[in-house]
Parts: sequence; structure tokens; C-alpha cells
Amino acid sequence: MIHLLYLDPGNGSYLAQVIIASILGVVFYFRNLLYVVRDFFYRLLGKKDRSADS
Amino acid sequence: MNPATHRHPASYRDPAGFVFEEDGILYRQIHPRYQPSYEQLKQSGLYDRLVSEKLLIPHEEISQPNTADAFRIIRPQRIRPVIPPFCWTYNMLLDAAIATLRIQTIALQHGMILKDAHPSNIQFIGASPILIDTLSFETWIKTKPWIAYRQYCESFLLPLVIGHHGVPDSPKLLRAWPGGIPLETGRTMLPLRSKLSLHWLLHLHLHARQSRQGDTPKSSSTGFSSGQMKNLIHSLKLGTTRCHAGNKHSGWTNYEQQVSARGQYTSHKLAVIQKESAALSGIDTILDLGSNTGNYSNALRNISEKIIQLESDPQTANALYEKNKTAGDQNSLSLCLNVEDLLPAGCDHGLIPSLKSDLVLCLGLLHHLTYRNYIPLPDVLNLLAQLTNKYLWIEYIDPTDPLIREHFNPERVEQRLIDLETFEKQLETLFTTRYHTQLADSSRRLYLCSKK
Repeated sequence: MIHLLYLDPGNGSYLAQVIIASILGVVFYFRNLLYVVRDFFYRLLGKKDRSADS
Repeated sequence: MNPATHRHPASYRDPAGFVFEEDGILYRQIHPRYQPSYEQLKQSGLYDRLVSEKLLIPHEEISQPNTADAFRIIRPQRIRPVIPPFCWTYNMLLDAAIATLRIQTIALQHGMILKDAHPSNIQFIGASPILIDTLSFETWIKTKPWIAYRQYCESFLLPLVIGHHGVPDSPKLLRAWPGGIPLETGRTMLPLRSKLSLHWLLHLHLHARQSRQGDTPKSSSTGFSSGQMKNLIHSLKLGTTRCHAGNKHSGWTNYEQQVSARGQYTSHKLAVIQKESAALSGIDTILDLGSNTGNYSNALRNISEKIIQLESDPQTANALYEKNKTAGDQNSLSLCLNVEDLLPAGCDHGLIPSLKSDLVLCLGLLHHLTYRNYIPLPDVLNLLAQLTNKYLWIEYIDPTDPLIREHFNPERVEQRLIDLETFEKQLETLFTTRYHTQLADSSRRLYLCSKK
């Protein structure tokens, strides 16, 4: 049995990665913004912050 | 020591070094060009952190090499058996993927990055995944994207997402595409609803679409940032942990309940195997063929250091892996493999040396191989003789057994009829019977044999 002990990753899809990482940057930015707003209202209404549970 | 002449035949791609074996001991030679990365691995604390978290195989450095092309020779802890990822169960591939991303996250914290991310670099100690390629790390250049990103998507994420959508044995796809399923091919196996997950949409669908255009030489120098890298790894983690094994049930997952209706048969069989096996000596490894719930082999934990359990049904093998993991069992390795594929015409015939064990269990399996898969008895026994170093437990199932009459084609059974006399005669050609008994509430017989 010849095991594939090492495989060259080869072409790294660089450009795709840059585009995807940029999209993720926007998505995570707005998601975090949403969490901040949500937590603000939780505190305002005296509810327990759900993000603190996780 | 002469590393070059003992180089492992599959260890030729890595420019940083290679694996070689001498006097039964496995070593890894590190080339001078990898010296800066190796020193960073050790000095940054990354090696100690990963070893302490049992994510990287520990090694010891041996005396300085006397050849100019070697910077250092290390002796990694040996893992046996080394099993290719296409034999893993779905959750094994999932756990290996999560471990790879965890290693990547820790490496980034220490200023290093994984330069490859393929399942073959991971092996299992019991149910714990561990990186076996010490030379997988390089300095993290924060302005560059992850070189192993595509490899991770093709060899981990894609088979996992395909499996999530109703293909429980999706790791088997890595047999057809050992380097990873090409994104363009793999995405055609995915349903439209896989695009509803943002992370799958980006890393598989958009990635495949973008890859069609390919990279230009300038792409590798395209600006990237550490924040983008962290977002990318976080997103891959979310996309990976969303994967689940889908339908957990098959015709074999409730086998235990079915056999419980057979009176004392199961308990008698278990008691006999435990009692007689206790008298055997020199059992380091046990191979359980058609293991199902693994009850018989797991009952022999106290006499063996390692148990390999082969089960062809992907859901049952996965359930056994989870069961072993929950029990914290570091000795049992559950694999999804069809015994028929180990025969000379089968695609896994080359795995026999890795699976060879001191004691082989072939319980409740013979009738499937002979009457269903149409394998002649001498060929089955030949295979068992190749798989065992010393002993064999084999269960003879009489053609009048109710299960055979109920589930098998009578014509096929008639054509391949194996009566008791024929069975014992054939068995004696390769094995010596040490003990045999008829099982309670059954016409089945159990044999403990030594290999001739």
C-alpha cells in the first residue's frame, strides 16, 4: 500500500480566496454590528445577554 | 544510518524532508532548506503547544546526521496502522477536519501556517485525530493567502458537505480522488439547497466558479491581511461544523436488538470468546471483521493493545466510532471497509499488511461472504490466513440457519452449499482447531484456530 504521506497543495486558488475573504469581512462586520445593537437592547430591557451564554 | 536508501516509497513530494524506515523504526529526515521553519516550530512554542494538546505527533531528535543533505533526523512516535482517509467513517473525516482547523488556528497564533491540509496528514489514535506530518508548517506571511485553502476545500469540506446531503460513505470519494475531489466535479454532486449555507456557497460554489478562471502569476502576491485570514478560517470552521452524518440508521444499526431475540446465543458466544481468548498469549492487535456494534472485540480490550474494527455499513461504522469516542477508548479504531474489497480482485487488497493482526474475529460473517458475495470458502480462508499472524475465531453458519433461509437466495445457497464436514476439512488446510463448540439456541458453531 502506498500511502499519500505528503501531498503538494498545488495551486492555492489565491484570487478566489481574496474575493471570498473580502465578502466574509463585510458579512462578519455587519454580523458583529447586529450583535452590538442586540446586546444594547437586551441591556436596555434588562434581559440577560444571550451571547454571554455561548 | 543511510536515510536515502531506506526512503519510504510514498515520501517524495515534500521538499522539506522525507520519511524513511530502518531496522523497523520510522525516521524523518529534515533538509537544510527547512531549518528556519523547523527552528521556528520549536522556538515559537508551537510544537510544545500542539503536542500538549495531542494534536501533533511527538518526536525525539536523534544524533546529528552525517550527510550534507540533512539538517536533522527526527524519530516520530509511530502510529499503527496508518489508514488512508477513504477507509474512515464520516465522523472521522469530520473530526480530522476540525482538528486541522484547530491546528491552523494555533499555528497562526505562533506566527506559522499549515502549508498543506490533506486528510492523509492526519491519523487516529483511537478516536483522537493527530497530525503526523511535522514538516507541515511554514512561516506565516500575513500578506499572502493560505496556500492549502483549495486542498482543504477539496479534500475535507467537499466530501463532508456531499455526505451531509445523504451520502454517508462520502469519505470513499477520496479513493477516486486521493488528492481531493475537484471542486468543479464535486459541486455537481451537491443539491441546490447547499447554496443556502453562506459558508458552503462561498467555499464550494463560488470557489469552484472562480477557480475556472485560474490564478495569474500575480495572484499570489495579491494583498491579504491577517484579519482576512482569521475570517477565512472562522468561516471554514462554521461551514465544517455544520456538517452532520445525515441519516444515522440503516438495516444494520439495530442489529443488536434483532439478535437479542435469539435466546442465549449472543451471551453464550460472548462468554466463550472471552474465556478462551484469555488463555491466548502474545496478542498485540485484534482485527474484527464485520464488527457491527464491536461488542465482541471490545470485550477483549483487556488482552490486546489495539483493536481494528471493520464494518462495511457506513452508518454502523460511524455509530461504532462515536461509541468508542464517547467511551474514551484510545485502543479501538473503527473503519468503514468491506471485507470483500480485501480480496486480490478488490480495491483494498493493498491494505492487508496494515491490517494484519495477531487475532482475527470472523463472527457472523462467513455466510455473507460465501452465499451473498459469492466468494468460495477456500478464498475466504486464504484471506483470513493472510490477515492473522496467530489466531482466528470463526463462526460456522449452517445452511439451515433461519437467517440464511430468510434473507438469502436459495439457489445461491444451494450452489455454494458448505456443509459442516466441508467447512472443517477446508479450515484444517490452513488452521489448526484449538477449540470448538456449538452455540446455545442455535445450529451455529464457533471455532478458535491457530494459523499453521
